[in-house]
Amino acid sequence: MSFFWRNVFWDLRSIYRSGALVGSIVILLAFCIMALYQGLMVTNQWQQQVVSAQASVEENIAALQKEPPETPKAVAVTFFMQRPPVILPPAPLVELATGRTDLEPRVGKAGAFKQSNTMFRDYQIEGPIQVALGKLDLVFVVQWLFPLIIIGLGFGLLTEDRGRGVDRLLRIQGASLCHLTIARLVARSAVTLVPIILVLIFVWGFGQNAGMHIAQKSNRLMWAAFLIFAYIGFWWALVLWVNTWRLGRSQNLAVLVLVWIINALVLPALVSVASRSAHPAPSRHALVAESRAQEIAATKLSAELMGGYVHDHPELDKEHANKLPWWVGIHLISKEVDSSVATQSNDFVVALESQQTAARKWRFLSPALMLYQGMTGLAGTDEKRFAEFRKQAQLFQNEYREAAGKLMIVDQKLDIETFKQLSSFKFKEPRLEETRSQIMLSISFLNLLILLLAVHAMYRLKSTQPD
Amino acid sequence: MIAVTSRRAIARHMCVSLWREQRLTWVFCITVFLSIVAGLHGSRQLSLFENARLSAEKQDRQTFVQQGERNPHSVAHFSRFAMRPALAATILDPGIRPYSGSAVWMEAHWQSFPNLRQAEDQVDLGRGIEVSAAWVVQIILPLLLILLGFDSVASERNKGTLVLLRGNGVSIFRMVFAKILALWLIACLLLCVVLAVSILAALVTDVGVGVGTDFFLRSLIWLLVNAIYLAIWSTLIVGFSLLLKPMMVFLMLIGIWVGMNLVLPRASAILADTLMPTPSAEAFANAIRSDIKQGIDGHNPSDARRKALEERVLKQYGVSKLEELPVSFTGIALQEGEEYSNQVFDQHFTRLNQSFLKKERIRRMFSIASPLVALQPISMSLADSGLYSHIDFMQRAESQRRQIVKTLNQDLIDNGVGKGFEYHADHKLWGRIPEYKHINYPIVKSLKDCFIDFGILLVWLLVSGLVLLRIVRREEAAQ
Repeated sequence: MSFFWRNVFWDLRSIYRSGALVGSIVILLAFCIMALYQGLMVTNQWQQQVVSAQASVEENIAALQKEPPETPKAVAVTFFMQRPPVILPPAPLVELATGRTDLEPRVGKAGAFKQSNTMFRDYQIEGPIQVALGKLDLVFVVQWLFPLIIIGLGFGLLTEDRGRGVDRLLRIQGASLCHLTIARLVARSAVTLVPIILVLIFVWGFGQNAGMHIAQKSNRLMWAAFLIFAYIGFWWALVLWVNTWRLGRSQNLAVLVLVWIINALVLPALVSVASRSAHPAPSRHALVAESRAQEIAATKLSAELMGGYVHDHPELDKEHANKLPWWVGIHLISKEVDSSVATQSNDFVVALESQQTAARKWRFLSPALMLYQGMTGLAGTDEKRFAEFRKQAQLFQNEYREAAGKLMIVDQKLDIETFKQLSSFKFKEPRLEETRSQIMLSISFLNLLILLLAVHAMYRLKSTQPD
Repeated sequence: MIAVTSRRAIARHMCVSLWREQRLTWVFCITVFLSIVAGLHGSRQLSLFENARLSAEKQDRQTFVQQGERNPHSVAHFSRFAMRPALAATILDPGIRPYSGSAVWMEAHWQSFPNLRQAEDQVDLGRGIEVSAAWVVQIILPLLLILLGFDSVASERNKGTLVLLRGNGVSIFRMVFAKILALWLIACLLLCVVLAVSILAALVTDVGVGVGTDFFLRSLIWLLVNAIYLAIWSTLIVGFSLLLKPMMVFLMLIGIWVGMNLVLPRASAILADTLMPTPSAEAFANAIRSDIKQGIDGHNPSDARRKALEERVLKQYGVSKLEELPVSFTGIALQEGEEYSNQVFDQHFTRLNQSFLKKERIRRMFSIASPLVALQPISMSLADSGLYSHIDFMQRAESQRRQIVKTLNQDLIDNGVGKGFEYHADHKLWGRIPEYKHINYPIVKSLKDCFIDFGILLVWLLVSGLVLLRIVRREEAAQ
């Protein structure tokens, strides 16, 4: 066995004897299991919600089959009573990072008389304190707890020997301090990598597939693994670098903990404040007040709206066009309100996108941020997927309202097939390319940091090697 | 007298040493910086929120009054929004406010959840990093105290000054007490800095957010409970420093901090969710709809209950046909439907709110292991951003909704005879609809709600003090 591997096993044996090996693995595994349990709980809740929403579609169709609408009024009542759900399927890897799952709507309702901004009125009912505190998911464990275990295992990486004079002894025996250090790093980093590899294998084998092909899932998991390894690698490189400063053990510890506080707590908090302050979202209160004002204005002009509709649709027969029922007014008002507040509604999307873009730019300040954004992006629980859902849902609402309106107004018969076709919303998963390129950038940046820290640490090790 | 002097001298010496080592300077600078960020951010958020709310309320009132002639039932569907104002005290601790909705649509036939959650329109970089005074004091300050005090006793031992002190007649108890006192005084000073910046931020907020006696009283109590929390941390830090070597102390305290402040609050949420699962929005709404279906709908003339109501009303007025009634039956049927739905809402929402409170009780069990879990509800309650005030807002909005709908239905009953939904009322009726006036959740009630948490916090202080005393006695006996 070579000198290197002998050292790896020797170090593993020494940390095993001190109890650090078993302790670290047990702690990390315990947290990973807890995080997986949390992730699976969220996935199940989401899945149940989807099933229940899909059941309501079936009920709608069954009701329609029982009593097919014969008159235009009955068609209108059908469209009034039956609001097809728009369902967001569970995120691809929600077990890894729950992200905004508890903040965003996952099911909404479209309607022929509905204004777009009321589509997601029924929020998820979670305990508000639980939402505020956040979830103990895998990204939390990796982002906040793994570095602490790494610090615990590595703060005395070199100082242990220096204190006892072992480094000089080894030097006399012709051993290279660099090799010795790398061997130790390999041994100790294996301790932190084993639990995460086990978790990723579990998610790959037993996690939900969320309608994904196994290749897609493997692809996402592979990128998640690269990101996590790069993050863990960064911490080990940092630990090594700090160890070469020739400080005392407690000083090493203090410095590393301080970096952890800044990286995991302070910088993400400041980036969050900065991005929100730079791109504040407009007020939802103002939007509500404006929509309501527009609704009243449109109600007052209801007759004109109907007249305008008749004018724009010369295909309507004259007799029918002159006697449009009152519900057509409500239908047209909802369209009018939506178009009046379209710009204001869009401002929210723009603000959130700008905040996200800013946060994405500033993520390079903190590896913890790079990890968080990357993981939520891969998991599909970041702003992007939910924003895409809202966008697609609004598009569907507009199409549905338009089609339903035509059916009601031109007095067409509503059959089951038409209704099924009209009311089926299918979410198109956003492409992974953009997220992947962001993650690649993060991984490259982290690897660059690792390289710089490691090279400088090795240089210092060589230059300060005892004679 | 000598004892007091020596205690003072040790405490002063510790403060001076920390100052000379520049540890105190750094800690002070970090605290001031974060306090300013928290104060500015809190003030800006509060100002934006309140300005927008006030102007939206004004616009909506105008829209409502000037909506022209309409059927009262259409107006009951249009109805109003109850918007919850933010108190100046939310600068101290935004609590669950960004996540719990700030407005309720008070429409006919349906009790809505609070809508318009601020967090939805904000980028999410992880929870537990919301910069506020509470975050600085409850999460960051204990860490900074660990950095200040982890070697407070151990360094004396290492330098040999511990023996010297003992030789001069200073007991370990007196020395430990002095160290705790010094650390706690530093913590209190930093706490005061954070609070002062927050108060200043509230004062400069350009909307009338009620910086008055209530705000100062809330701030004072907030200061006191946080001071107790920091006293617990000071005791823990010095206690561990007495027992172990500096490096081990540091490792242990960081581990304890992570466990108490990061892991336990989230782990408690997992347990609460597992033991007390909340239904999905659909399941909850479906259950309500199904219960309401069993009762009178108000819109459904073929309903059996409506028949019974018809008979009852005809009998009451001594007439044989609905057309002969001196009041509008449509209005009566609508109100009857509301009364029935209200019972259903009461049942379901009470159950839901109870489940939130039960979750909170489950979470409270974890306060045995973490004083932060006990402190958080007190801090949020004092800042009017806790669970109880949120439930109170929901209940107030609901009672307002019932009042609005009842007033509109009553008008339909009195004036819509023979016209039903063709009847139109005008601005005189809309002007009679009362505005939603939010009454702040009283501070006395807030304190009452958190009475147990307050007790737990005191028990924490007492137990940590007693354990430390026992350790000190053992150390003294050993020496």
